[in-house]
Amino acid sequence: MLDVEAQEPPKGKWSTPPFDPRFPSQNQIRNCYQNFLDYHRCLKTRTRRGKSTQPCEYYFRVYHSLCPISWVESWNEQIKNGIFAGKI
Amino acid sequence: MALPLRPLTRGVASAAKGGHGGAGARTWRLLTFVLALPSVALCTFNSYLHSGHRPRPEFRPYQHLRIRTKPYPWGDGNHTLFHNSHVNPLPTGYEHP
Repeated sequence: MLDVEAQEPPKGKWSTPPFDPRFPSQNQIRNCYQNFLDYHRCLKTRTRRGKSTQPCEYYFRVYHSLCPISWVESWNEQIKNGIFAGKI
Repeated sequence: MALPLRPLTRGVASAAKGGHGGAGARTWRLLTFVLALPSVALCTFNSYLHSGHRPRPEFRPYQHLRIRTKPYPWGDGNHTLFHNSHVNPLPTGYEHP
């Protein structure tokens, strides 16, 4: 579920993330983090209810576009070690 | 801080009881023994009831806590100034098992 190695990028063409009115300014850090959290929360809830996690791919795509790769890697490492500070 | 100044100019000590005596020593002595000291006693009793050892939280090496970019200038550089080894973990974990 939260196993990082099992996540594969979804198929198909994806354009750049759309405008999000919650984060209108130039600084998109919060946008990146929020989508990262939303992706993992989406995964957790959907797998808990036994449903398909296909709708979560949107968040995956957005945070992969917006977040620095080093951040994503360090967060995934923290999740794996159980020391991620965000609420998932 | 626009404090209302008019009540302060009144000579009457309008405390919680709104007692009539002047701002005299008798009033304050009464308040001390009737209000202040019983409140202190009640609060002491309350903290005694809430006291006792409780299980300390499990240690997780979060990276945003217990940060050591530079050693502390005292001791071994790793302990905070008011370190309590029963409840304060070091960056690597608790000291006592």
